[in-house]
Amino acid sequence: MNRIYLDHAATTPLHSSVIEAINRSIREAWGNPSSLHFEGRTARKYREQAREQVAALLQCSPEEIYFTSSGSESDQWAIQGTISIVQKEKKQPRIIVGEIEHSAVRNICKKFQSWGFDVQWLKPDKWGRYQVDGLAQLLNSDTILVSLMYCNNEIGTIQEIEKLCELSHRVGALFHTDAVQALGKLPSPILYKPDLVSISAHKINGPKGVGALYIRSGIKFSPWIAEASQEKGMHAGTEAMPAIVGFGAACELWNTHQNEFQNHLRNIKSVFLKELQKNCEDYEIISPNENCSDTIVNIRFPELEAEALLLGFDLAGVAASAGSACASGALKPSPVLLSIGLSEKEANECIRFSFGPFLTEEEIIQAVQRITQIVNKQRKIQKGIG
Amino acid sequence: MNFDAILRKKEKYVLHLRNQYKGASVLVAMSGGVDSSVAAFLLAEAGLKVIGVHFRLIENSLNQSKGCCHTGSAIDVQRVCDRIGASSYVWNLTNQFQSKVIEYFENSYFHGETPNPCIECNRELKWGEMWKRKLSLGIDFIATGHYARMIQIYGKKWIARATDYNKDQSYALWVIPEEKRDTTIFPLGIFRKSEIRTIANFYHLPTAHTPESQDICFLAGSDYRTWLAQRKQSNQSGWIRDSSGRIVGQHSGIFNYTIGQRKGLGGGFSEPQYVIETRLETSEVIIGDLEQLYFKEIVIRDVIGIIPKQPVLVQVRYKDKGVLANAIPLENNGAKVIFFEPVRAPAIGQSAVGYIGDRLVFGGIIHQIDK
Repeated sequence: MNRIYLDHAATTPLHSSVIEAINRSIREAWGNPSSLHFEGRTARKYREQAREQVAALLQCSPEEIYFTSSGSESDQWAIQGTISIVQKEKKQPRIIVGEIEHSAVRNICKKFQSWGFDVQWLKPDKWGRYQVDGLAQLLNSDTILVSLMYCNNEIGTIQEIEKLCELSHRVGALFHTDAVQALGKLPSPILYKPDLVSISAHKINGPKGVGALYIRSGIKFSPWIAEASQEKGMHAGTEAMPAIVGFGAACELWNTHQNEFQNHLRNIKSVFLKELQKNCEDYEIISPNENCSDTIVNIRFPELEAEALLLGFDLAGVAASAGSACASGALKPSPVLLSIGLSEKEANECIRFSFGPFLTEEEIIQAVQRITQIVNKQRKIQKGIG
Repeated sequence: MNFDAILRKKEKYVLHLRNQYKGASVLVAMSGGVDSSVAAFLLAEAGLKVIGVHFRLIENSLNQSKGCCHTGSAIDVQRVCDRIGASSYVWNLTNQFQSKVIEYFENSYFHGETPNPCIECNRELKWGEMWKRKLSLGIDFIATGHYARMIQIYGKKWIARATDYNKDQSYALWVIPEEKRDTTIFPLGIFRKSEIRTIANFYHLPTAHTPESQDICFLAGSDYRTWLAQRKQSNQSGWIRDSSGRIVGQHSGIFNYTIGQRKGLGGGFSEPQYVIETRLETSEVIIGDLEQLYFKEIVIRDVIGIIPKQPVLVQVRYKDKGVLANAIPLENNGAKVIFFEPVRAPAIGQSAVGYIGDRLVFGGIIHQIDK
């Protein structure tokens, strides 16, 4: 049975051009980019080319791109890097963070809160949107950082970054946005003038193990690793060259085909939703209708547990996901879904389908058929058992 | 049995499984221990499509050293499944476990009974929740690493004792209703524990050296009295009386006492004294000598199985030789069991399970004991 992968928000398959670039870098750019000799210079050339490719997709200057190991690392660096520099200037520095941020952001902010920092949590509405008024109420002159993601990873909500960012700047706070799910798929966040942006390679057909943090030139920001000797003294550790080169190639791919990919993704999602409407009874779309990513749709199947559905989908060759897995791999109700007002039971009935540009319409139609079959069967048995 | 003989036995058994089940799909409940790992392994070897599922039963149990609730166990299950070519999943059954097993366990004690949580876990989770999911997923069988057998007589499936009587776990399986037995497999029933370890070792299963599991998994080795004390403030102390009603001491809380218990009664008696009854309403513990611990009749409820006309061997606790008895059906799924000779300390809330030979014929929950 052919596998149909509808979990692109978790990770994506590597594109052949990325694999080629990685292979080339393994053969040719094995040197240490900090070395002064030919081998080092060659590696450095590859690294800087990748930085340019990433910057081109993000529409910023290459000097503002700092490579990290992941989107999560970028997120945590953005928060800690701001706090450790700016906290001395304010009596009681305040951080404002959204309730439905990525766990990397939420968890580091919880830690700071437990250490006594003033952390304020911005609540979204039932579609996952942060309201500008809501943010205005939390902002004060001691606010040093606002962190709100561009596109939510579980329900796909796109935030009005421009307004949120502008408002934050008015009180002198830095604005960080996690754009991991948005990179390549939405207009560049840089257009909205944030100070810090987290991105990651493996959501755009690049390799795992590499991400980047955009740091706007001129802001006060602290290195991730003390006395660092890589990334202009901001990060340390000899660079993961194949991953960085792969990241560059992936950005190049998405930059070249951006319109084509975006149109295709829009089409794919609408086919998915149409087919579902045609075939499947009793489901609820949790993702917003408007201002939602074309790559993500979150759907609730009332009275059916996501855990059992996902197993059924997997056996039928369809990969999707739900909630947030704990260390053991068990599903827990997603904090994002709870935050937008679902009950624990309802949250456990939600499944996220996420799409990539290389899925075909036929695959989507086939996937919906399989999904519908399993949903209907489980519903029948559920009713039978009572 | 020597090494080669064990492997030959395993080969022969896998062949038998292959003939019976090849190509079928099976959900295997995997705790992360060696038993369920080998169960999954044998089924995979026999050509079944194995889907290993690990139940997460308790929240925040990262600190526990072992058991179903430990994160490491889930990872072990993954490793075993990867090793044997099975798919693996973790199911978060914490809510079901809390409401169906832990609350039952606590309430039972708080009502002065002696619960058996493993049996309720089998009933509600393995042959309850897991069964429901098996049906909805269209999977053919479910299997567990219990030491028991499923035998067929005249076209009907019966649960039977494991060939290794020391490990036999059939006592805890009487709750599996008849209609679920046809599609249940116990792959370990003909093996000894030592043989299972040998197989796990020989085939390098990552769980070959996991320690023996606890009696009650969620207590993680601590005493059930401590568990209960943390959950109920009003574990009232009260009088200890002898069977004639005379006060002979004071007890520390009624839930700390179970029928047959010797500990915690104080000293100074001419004969060893045992708890023969606990009275919840008056918070009294009644003690007596050994002879008073023996009962001639019990009444059981919620019976599953058939009550045969011939005498049966009835076991009133796990790991017990059992006593011959006649059983008489009562209305509302009840039965009276009259023992040929008095049986020691049958506890209300525990299960009584009847056997003819190795075959389990009925089981029920003890709810009355008589002299």
